[in-house]
Amino acid sequence: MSLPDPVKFTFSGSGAVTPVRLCCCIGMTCITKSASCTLKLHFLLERMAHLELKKCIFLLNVFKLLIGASLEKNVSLPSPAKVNLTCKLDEHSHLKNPQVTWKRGSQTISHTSKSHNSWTIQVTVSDSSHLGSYVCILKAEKEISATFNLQVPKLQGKDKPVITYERDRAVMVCKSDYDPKGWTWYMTNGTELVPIDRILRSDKFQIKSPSPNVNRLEILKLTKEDGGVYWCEAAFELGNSLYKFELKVLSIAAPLKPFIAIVAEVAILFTTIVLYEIYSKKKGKGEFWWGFLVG
Amino acid sequence: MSPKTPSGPLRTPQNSPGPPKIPPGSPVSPVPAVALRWPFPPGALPALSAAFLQVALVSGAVRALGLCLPPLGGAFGAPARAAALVGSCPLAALQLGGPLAAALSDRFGPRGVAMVGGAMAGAGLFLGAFATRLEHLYLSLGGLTGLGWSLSFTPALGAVSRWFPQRRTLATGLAVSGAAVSGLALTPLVPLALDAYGWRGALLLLAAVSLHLVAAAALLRPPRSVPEPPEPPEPPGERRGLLRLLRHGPFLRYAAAFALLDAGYYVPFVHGAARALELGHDGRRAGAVVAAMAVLDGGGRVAAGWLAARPAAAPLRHLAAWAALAGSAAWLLPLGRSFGALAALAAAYGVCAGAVVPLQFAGVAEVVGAGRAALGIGLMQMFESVGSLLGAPLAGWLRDVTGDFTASFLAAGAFLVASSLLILTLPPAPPEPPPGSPRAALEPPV
Repeated sequence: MSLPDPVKFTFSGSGAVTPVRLCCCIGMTCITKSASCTLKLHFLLERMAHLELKKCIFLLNVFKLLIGASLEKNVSLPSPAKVNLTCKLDEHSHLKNPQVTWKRGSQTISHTSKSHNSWTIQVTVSDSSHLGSYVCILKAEKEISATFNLQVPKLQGKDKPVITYERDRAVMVCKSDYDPKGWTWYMTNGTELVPIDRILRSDKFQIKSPSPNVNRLEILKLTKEDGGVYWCEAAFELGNSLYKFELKVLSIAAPLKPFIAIVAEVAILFTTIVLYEIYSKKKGKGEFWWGFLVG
Repeated sequence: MSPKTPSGPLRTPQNSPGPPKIPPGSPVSPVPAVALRWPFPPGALPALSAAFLQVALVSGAVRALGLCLPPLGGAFGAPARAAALVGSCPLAALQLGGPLAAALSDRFGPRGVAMVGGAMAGAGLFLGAFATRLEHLYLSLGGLTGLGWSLSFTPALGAVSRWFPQRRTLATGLAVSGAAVSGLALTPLVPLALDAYGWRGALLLLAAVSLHLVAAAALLRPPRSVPEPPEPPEPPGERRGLLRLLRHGPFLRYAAAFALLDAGYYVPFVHGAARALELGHDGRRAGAVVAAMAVLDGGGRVAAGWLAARPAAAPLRHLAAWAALAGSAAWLLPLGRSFGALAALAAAYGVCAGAVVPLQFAGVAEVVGAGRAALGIGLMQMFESVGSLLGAPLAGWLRDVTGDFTASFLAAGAFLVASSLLILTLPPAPPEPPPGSPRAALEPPV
């Protein structure tokens, strides 16, 4: 896979690069977490079908580093709401006369209220177009920015591949902190996502919901072809949230190989010990002499 | 004298050309045990290594099983309690099977029984890997594996008690330190196996590793009869031995003390990580707290074994002291809030709790005599099972009722201190005769 040329990634939209706690990713794997990456790094934007952009944020030392605190907060919104976002400066800070601007993208938002050390905006989130990153930028001797990511609630599942065996049963559990309006499961057919309810064969797929915020997909009578990527989608009023599961179907022979190797090793060890014991019995005379000398 | 190697590289008389050379004509003068170069009879060291391996494998497997429980429970859609039962059933079988294991090993010798036990443990885990229902796991893991563990664990510790009449506590300490080693080794390995092969594959690999119990058992030679300190000779037949034990007042108090101790002992180990998380520390720090406890647990086992092996020591008094210290450490645990304080207190608890273990098993021989040690250990474990089955759930219930673990740790400390007081009521065993005396010349036996 060829990587694109290094690109300047502007995080706050103000044109300045803000140092943040960063995750440097290549594809889906995040390889470092550091406050400053001293290498010029490439990144990839991974685009999922049906929305959800995965962002990897990088610090490029090409730009002047601005020292300051870096703050980011994720705000999960399951349903439309009016949200107050406040940036508050610490009482003991030595920054004088800070100027604060709230921005979303390149658009400036005016304050709803402010005090000598806090600045608030109110965002009415009525549909998905109002979701996104809202940044408050504080300019004084240093420039500090804090970002609020307004988003649909994220789902939890298993981030490592789910290992199952042929003729076994696979279970994938998708959880959310909030109750979605509905759940849908997809399986991947090549590059397409196929909803499982369309092919719902009750002897093969079972979808159960033990509680409104938990959804289980069970796949019975597994075969090798069932392995692959499955998606769990939770529908919220403000949009959909996705989670990716990877299913691996192994044949029982896979762990049997190390199993047999270990058993063989045990057998060798056992035989060695037994032979040693038999040999030592033949040297029984030595024991007698030894005991005699010490006693 | 370093507690681990008596002299130079370890050599059993089997593979050395002969016994160490003593210049002819030099008298075998009464030297303190400390200066004796090779005080162990042949067969003692293999028995010690066997016991070390048995302890390591059994406690390692218990821990590994615990780590496999979450994916296992999820796969069967079982609630957390049902999955936890899969872990506690084999543990209960391990302790309840004690008397059976002891009786069998008295009859058939520890080696055969331990080999059968190892095979059973491996078979149970192997069958468990193919389970299609949770109930299968209760039977195969709970029944077969747990019983198998008991059949290998109990005879091994009984044999160590008999093979090392002079340095019993040290030997036991070394043997039970196996638990710490396997804990450190398995904790990173089991998640790797789970990620690669899922819980079924992990159980399969655990079965293969458990088969090492059979190989270790091959090292267990039946101990030859040891001259007893003043103890009337017992009538033959193990059933009468068992019944006589049940009427032995000091033994009953000893076993009851450990039922109490077990109710408190496991609580910090089982709930330590949860306590760290409850205080707001992250998963990694919680793991570090538990690791500190585990490492110092291993150190405590060896240290206490060595301390109590000195000729003037009274193991039962040491045991009571360590149990009381462990109880105090448990009482102090709720005070640790920051990561440093919590880790330090957990480590202190680990040392004291670990110290109790070798003295507990070696103390059995002090109370009932070396000949009945295996039987005593088995019966004691059965008593203990009451405590251990109640202890951790009680702590969990206290936490649910009061909101945090403070009450649980205080209760655990109370159990530990109570058991310490009970042990203090036991008559101290007559001290081991000094090695220079004629009686000592009979030990180690030929």
